[in-house]
Amino acid sequence: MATRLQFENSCEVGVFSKLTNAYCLVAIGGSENFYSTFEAELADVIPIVKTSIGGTRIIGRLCVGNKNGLLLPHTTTDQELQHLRNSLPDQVVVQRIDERLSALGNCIACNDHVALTHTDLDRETEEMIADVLGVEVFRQTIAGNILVGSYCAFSNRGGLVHPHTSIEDLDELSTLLQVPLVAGTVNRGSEVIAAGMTVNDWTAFCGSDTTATELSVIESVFKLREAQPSAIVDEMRKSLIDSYV
Amino acid sequence: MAGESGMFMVQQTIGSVLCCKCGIPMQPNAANMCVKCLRSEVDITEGLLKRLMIVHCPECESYLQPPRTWIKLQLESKELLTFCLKKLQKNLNSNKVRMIHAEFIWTEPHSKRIKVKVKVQKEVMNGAILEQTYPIEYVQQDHMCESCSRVQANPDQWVAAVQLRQHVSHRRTFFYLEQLILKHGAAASAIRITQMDQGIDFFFSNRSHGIKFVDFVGKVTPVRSRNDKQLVSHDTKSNNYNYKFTFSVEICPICREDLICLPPKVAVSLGNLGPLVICTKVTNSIALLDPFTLRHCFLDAEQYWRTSFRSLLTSRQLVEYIVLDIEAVSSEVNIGGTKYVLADAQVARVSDFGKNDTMFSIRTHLGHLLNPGDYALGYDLYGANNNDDELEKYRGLVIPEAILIKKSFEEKRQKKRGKPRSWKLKSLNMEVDDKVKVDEEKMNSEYEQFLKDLEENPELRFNISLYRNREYQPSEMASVTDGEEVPSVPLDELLADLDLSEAGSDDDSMAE
Repeated sequence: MATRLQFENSCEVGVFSKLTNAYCLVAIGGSENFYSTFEAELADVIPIVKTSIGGTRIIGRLCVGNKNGLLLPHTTTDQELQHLRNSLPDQVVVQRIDERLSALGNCIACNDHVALTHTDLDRETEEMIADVLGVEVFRQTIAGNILVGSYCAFSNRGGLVHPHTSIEDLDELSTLLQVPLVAGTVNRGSEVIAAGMTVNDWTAFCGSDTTATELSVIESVFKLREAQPSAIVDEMRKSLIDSYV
Repeated sequence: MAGESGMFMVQQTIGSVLCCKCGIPMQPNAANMCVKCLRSEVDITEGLLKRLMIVHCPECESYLQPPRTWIKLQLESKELLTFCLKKLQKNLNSNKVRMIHAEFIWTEPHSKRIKVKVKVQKEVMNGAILEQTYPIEYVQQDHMCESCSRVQANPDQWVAAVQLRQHVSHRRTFFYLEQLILKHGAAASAIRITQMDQGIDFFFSNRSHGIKFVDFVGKVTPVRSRNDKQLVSHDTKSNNYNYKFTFSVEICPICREDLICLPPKVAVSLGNLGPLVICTKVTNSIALLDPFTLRHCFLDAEQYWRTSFRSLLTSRQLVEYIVLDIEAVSSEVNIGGTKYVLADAQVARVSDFGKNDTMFSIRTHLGHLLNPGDYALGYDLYGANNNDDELEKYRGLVIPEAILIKKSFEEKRQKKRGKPRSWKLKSLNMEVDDKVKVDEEKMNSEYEQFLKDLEENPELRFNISLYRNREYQPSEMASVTDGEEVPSVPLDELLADLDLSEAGSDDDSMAE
């Protein structure tokens, strides 16, 4: 299910949080409301880590990660790096990278298998992304925007892109990502998708301005209605049993 | 561009997204909201004026342009629309709204409402431009403008009065002046014209109109004028003073065909002219002719008023003579466009004819016109009883017994009496002052005399407009006359009178 929430009266929840299938990062806010909303949804399943990156709260725009790893910008302090390494599960590789474009969340969008990146990213960074996150990397733009991380959000099951994306672009992107995509908006018509929401395979968090129409688009494209953390395991088990039988 | 360079371009098909409010599929726009939802979300006409007041003068159909200009505007005219929108512009600008179209919605003229449909554009929500039409109602508030309220309070309130006077016993000058004024439209701005004893009063609503009229009169006649003003009201706090101006204009009493005895000083200054002279023409100067020597000179207004003199005998005192014999003395002389021949003539008064044998041997300047047996009009100095101061100043002046002025057509005219003329004149719309007793008969005979003068003298006709008389039917007999014909106005001098409408006919004639 998708949840609507606010971070200190701001609807841009994707800026202040990072949600993957293996962990969730949230910014340190003045009140516990933001954190507790995440906790209510995810507490039993994945670790929720309160952190800052480079002393700022805009962690969602600065880092990028999936269930395999987490990439942090060079502005991250040693303490923060240490704190994250301590808090995250052992199989998640936490890596700080020397990239000129330090807002990694704006430049890179990824799920557990594929990543779309800013066209001007360094070659070393691209290699690092492939190594740490274990993904295939494609340099892309979305509806003419080079900040692919800002204008699209996708999980392993579906994706939402900038509303001006043409049908041909949608086809190309979904072929690359191997997930169904749809053009849409969040936060009552905002086209900055990743800033307005954060999503993993079974749940999504949207800004509280998001309308019912937008929420229904999000739930259907990310297939959140039937999704439960256990559903995936069930599905996997079915296939396992299938293969056993 | 890319297609021209042969580069492969993926065709871009614009997809559709769901409107974020109502969920209908639509083309993505800046607000990502369908037009209906956007309109329900924001009202761009919010804060715009929808009902305005305009001040309107019901008398002269004009509108107040603050602070105090009144402009005449027609309903449904482009100018009125501009006027209405000008009132709105400030309001639109302060709301950052751009007007792109405006038109009138028809309303009943007596409803005192003007409705304008305005289409406006405004940028809303991250760059989406919304367009909306809305009606504005202007309420006409009736308020009489300053000049109209002044007229209402007192319909013939005048500011400048021109009192035109000539101290002579006839009105011939004013008949002529009336025609000149009509031809030049000089009194078009007069609000009232009144006929007075020995003159006419003109009333104007503006001082400058009065001054202009006085200037006009000064150009066509030798005049002397003075002006006075009377304080009507004043406001010391704002230094406003209301005056009534009066111009007293006196026309010189010398008329055409008058016999004048020049004062010695004037005679000397004119090179010992005269002293008995005839006035042959009056424009803004006076033309004088010595009938015995054919010397002539001009006297302008300034020169005249320096030593104003009066005429010895005027045209009313003309006596009819019959020419018995005439003998030219000199050859033809051309003076100011008219020809004269000095001649010795033997004349007798028509009144004496058959009673006694009184005959006069005189010298005349009309030798070219007169033949034995002709009738002529002249001054009877033999029988006149003069008590003129100027005449007495000349000692040993030999006064001739008669001075002929012009040929008389009285005999021939007898036949034509009672028939209408082929032409007519316009007349000024004049009121008659109650206090003045008008001798209707005298006036009519003077007017008839004036018309005859016009017929006889083409020079007089030069400056005035004659109109074709529709009622005139030329008789077949008219062409069969014996010998010399009575002078009349040739047809080609007449103007066809334009009759566009009853009210407009006066104005048309002024403009020719």
